[in-house]
Amino acid sequence: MIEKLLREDRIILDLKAKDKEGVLREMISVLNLPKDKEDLLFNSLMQREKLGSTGIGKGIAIPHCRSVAVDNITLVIGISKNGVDFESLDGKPVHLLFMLVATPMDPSMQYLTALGNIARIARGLASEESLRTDFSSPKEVIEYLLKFNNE
Amino acid sequence: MNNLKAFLEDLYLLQDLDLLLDQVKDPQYLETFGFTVSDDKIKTLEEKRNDLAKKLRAINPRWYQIYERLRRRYKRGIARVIDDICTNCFVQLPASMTGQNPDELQTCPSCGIILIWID
Ligand SMILES: [Zn+2]
Repeated sequence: MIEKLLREDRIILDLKAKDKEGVLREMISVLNLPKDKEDLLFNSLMQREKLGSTGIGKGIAIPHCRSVAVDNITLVIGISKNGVDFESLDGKPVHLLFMLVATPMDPSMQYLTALGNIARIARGLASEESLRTDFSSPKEVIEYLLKFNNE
Repeated sequence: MNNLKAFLEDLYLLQDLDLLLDQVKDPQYLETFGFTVSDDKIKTLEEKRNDLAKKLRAINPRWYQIYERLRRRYKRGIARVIDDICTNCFVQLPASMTGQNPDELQTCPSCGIILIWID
């Protein structure tokens, strides 16, 4: 199912923001939502972060939540060459972010399956010697990530 | 007095908090994500949830009760209307329901969930 969620127009090759709040705002902005929906989504993501950072270590974070702001389950990928302080478990800066947002109505199965797929890709990436951040196109990112989904 | 808009805005937040609480207590989620949440943090979140619920109950106890009853039945109390369809039961709404009534809570004729129209 992850193939369906990966969209070229939802991939940011070089995030500008340097901190958690800034980077979440920057990733939300690619969804082109009205301001009030952007705020709702941002608040839900931050509420989730307050329970414990979704920075799972090795430079990867998976911010996620349910929100009325989206019409469908939505994935945004962000890459930060310089790294973002995401209060990760291992204290290291984050270079690759998977932001998953489900609607309140998406069945738990669908949401958890998507999260599980992303977690599997993240584990594959974490086992590499170093995390790759140099991509010339969103298409290249998708091909790279899918390699880890099939392993 | 028209306080429905403010009520609905807080109701989205309440539902988001309720769903987040459901999630962090779901063993399948915790296993999928390889994540644990401390009891302290859950307690803080529950307090925040209860404060918001108290505020909503004070605004309109009847509306709040409708939400609580629906939550028990569906785990959700509100659903968006998208293209004239209730996103809880996917039944098309009658033509007479064209959008948000500014004064009264509207519920789905088929499943009973509180309906919201947001663009
Ligand atoms: Zn319905």
